Amino acid sequence: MASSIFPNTSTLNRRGFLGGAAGLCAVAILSACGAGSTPAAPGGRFTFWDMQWGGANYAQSVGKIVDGWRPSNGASAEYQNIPWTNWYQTFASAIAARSAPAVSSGAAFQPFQFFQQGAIKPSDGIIAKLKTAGIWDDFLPGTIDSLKYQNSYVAVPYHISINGLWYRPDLLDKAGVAVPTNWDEFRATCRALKNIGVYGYSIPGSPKETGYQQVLPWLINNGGGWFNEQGQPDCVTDRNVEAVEFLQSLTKDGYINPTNVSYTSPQSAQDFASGHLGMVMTGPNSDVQNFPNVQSAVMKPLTGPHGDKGALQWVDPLMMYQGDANVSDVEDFVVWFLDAIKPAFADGTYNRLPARKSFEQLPAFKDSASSQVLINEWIPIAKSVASKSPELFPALNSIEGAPVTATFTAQVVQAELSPQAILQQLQDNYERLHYSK
Amino acid sequence: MVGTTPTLKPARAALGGRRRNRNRATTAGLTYSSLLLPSLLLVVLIDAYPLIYAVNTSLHGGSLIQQGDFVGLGNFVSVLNDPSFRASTRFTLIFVVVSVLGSWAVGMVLAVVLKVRFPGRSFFRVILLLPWIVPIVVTSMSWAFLLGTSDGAVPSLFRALGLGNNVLFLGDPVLAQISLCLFKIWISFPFTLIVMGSALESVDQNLYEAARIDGATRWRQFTSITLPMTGRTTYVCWIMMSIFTINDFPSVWLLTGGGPVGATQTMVVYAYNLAFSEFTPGLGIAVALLITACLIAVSVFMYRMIRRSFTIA
Repeated sequence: MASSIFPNTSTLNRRGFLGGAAGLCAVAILSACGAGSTPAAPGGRFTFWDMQWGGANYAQSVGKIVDGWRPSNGASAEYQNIPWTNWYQTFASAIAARSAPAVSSGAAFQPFQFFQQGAIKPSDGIIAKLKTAGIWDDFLPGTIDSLKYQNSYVAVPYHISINGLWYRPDLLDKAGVAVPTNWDEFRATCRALKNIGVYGYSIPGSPKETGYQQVLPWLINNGGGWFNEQGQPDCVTDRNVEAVEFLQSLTKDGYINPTNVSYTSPQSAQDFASGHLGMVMTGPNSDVQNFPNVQSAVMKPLTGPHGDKGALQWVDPLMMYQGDANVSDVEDFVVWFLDAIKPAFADGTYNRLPARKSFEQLPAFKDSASSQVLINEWIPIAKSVASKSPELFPALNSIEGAPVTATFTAQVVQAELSPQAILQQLQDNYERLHYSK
Repeated sequence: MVGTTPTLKPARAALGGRRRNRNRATTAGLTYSSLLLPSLLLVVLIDAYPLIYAVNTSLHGGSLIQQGDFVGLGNFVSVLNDPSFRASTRFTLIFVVVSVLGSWAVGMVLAVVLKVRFPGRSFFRVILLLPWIVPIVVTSMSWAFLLGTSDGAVPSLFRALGLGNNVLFLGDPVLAQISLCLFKIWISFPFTLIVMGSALESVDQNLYEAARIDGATRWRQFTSITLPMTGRTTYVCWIMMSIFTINDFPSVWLLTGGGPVGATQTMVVYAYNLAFSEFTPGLGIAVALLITACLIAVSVFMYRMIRRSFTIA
C-alpha cells in the first residue's frame, strides 16, 4: 500500500525527497566555501579590534570613545577588546577565515608580517588624511616613517611602548645608595640591596613570557643588539658578549633571584611591590597600575661601559585589513580616533606613552615625574628590536614570541653557559629560522 | 488461452517475488545509507577533512595565513634532524613511562586499600577524585604558586628543614621534569583508581579465600592473584594513559611552558611552538603526524599484548 506521504504515483517520492535534501546540503557547503564578497558601500558598520593597553577599565573606556564616532554618512565602528594571550593565533585564524576586522591595533611588527602575507591594506590614505587634517606634524619624529615597508605605510602610530628602569627609592635609601647612573653603580646598588635582603634586578625567564625585554635593552644600551645595519642577525659581538656577561654576573653574585628562570612579569612586579626587588624594567604608568601602593620612580638611562646609551621601544600600530569594509570610512574613523583618544591619555586609561607631541603636554604626563623621565630621557635614545637596522621587517614579529628567544633569556638568567655560547646559539637559530630582513 | 501455461505461473510468481524482495532490499539499503548521510558528513567535515588538510599542509611551507611552496617530505626531514625534536621525544618517553606507571601504581594501591571496609571509606572515595575533577588551570596555578617562587610553601619547607636555601623546582631543568611528572601523577591517579577499582571488583573472592587457606601472605595474594586477574584492565589502562599523556598539552604548558630552556618540552608542546610561536605550521603538523603514528604503533602493540593474554587465558 502506498504511503500517504510518499504515494507511488506522487511527484515526490522517498528517493526524491532524500536526494533533494542531499542536494541542498551540497549547495549549502559549496556556498560557504566559495563565497566572495564585494566592497561595502559607505555608511556601513565595521569592526575595530583593540588590544589591552591599560588596566581593568580599559576596554569599557575606549569602547565608549569608539561609540562616539557619528559621521554624517551613518558609518559606525564596533569595538572589540582582544586579550594578548594567543594574540597571533587570534588574528591568523581570523584572516584565514576571512573574518578579520577592518582595523586593529596590535603588536609592533604585526603589520609588517601580515602585509607581507597580503592581509593588510596600506595606510597611505590615512597618512594623506592626517596631513590634510593638520595632525601629521604632531606625531613624534620618526614614528610614522618607522611604519613604512616596501614603499607603503603598513600602519599608523597609535602610541609608544617603552620599558624604563624603575626603582624603589625607599629601599635604596634603606640600603644607603644613590640612584645609579652607570653599570658599575648599578652593580654597587645591587650589592647594597642584597645586604638588606633585597634582590637587585629581575629577568622573567618563563617560556610563556617576553623576558627578552629585560635583556635586550642592556645589549642596545652597550651599543649592541641582535641585528646589524643590513637587518641580518649579528648576535655574537663584543658589546653583546659584554652585556650578557654583566647580566650573568648579577645572577652569579645573587643579585637576581635564580627562580627568575621560570618567572613571569607579574611575579617580578609582585616582588617589586612587596619589597623583595629593588629595581625592575617595566613600562609607563606602572606606578599607577602595577605597584600603586609603593613609592617608585624611573631612573635616567644608564651610561654603558663605553659611554653608550640606548633603550628599547615599540611604536604600537593601528592597521587596516583586506576585506569588504569601506576603505574611506575606515580611514576617516582612524583619523578621528587618533584625536578622540586624547582624554583617555589624560585620565590614565592607557599605560602607554603618546605618539603625539600635543598629548605629551597633558597634565597626566607633565605632572608625572616617571613619564617625564621616560619621555625626555628614554625615548630620544630608544631603538627597536631591529637594533642597528634602520628599517623594520616582518621577521621581527616572529622573534618576539619565538621559543628560541625565550630560551636565550632563560639561559642568560641561568648563567650556566658562556655568553659566547648563548649568543652563538641565538645567532644559529635566527639564521636557521630566516629571522632577518 | 494463448500465453503462459499454468506450470509457469508459480515460477513467474516466484521470480516476481524474488524481484520484489530484491527491490525492497535495495530500497531499504538506500534509505539506511541516506539516513546515515548526515553523520557521515559530520565525520568527513570534523575528522577526515582536517586530517587531509593537515597532511597537505605538512607537505608545504608557508605561514598560518598563506600556504607556501610544496616541499614534499622536507618538513619531516627538518624535524627529524632538529635537536629540539630529539630532546622533546626523549623527555616525552620519560614523561609517559613515569606518569603512566606512577599514576597506575598509586591508583592500584589506593584501589586495594579502598576495598577494605573502614570508617569514612565513602568520604575518601570522593575526596580522592578531587585532583581529577578540579580544572587543570586551577591545579597548575596552585602548583606553580607552591613550587615556583622562593616564598612558595614547598621551597620554604625545604629551607626550614635545611634541605636547600632556594630549591628551583620549576627553574632547574631536572627538578622541573620531576615536578611535571609528579604533577601528572597527581592529576591522573584518580582515573586509574576508578579503573583498577572496577577491575578489582570483578576478581573472584574465592581465590583469595583459597590462597589464605593455603597460607599465602597478602603480598603473595597481591602478586599472584590481584595483578594477574586485573592484567587485561591494566593493559587497557596503560594504553589509555599513554595516549592521554602523550597528547597532554595543558599540563605541560600551564605549569612550565616547556621550560626551563626546553627541558620539559614534550612533543605536543614542540609541535605547538613550531606552529604558533615560530609560525611554521608545516613543521608543527609534521610533528603532530609523527606523534599520531607513534600513538597508533603503541596502541597496536598493546592490543596485541592484550589479545595474547586472552589467548593464554
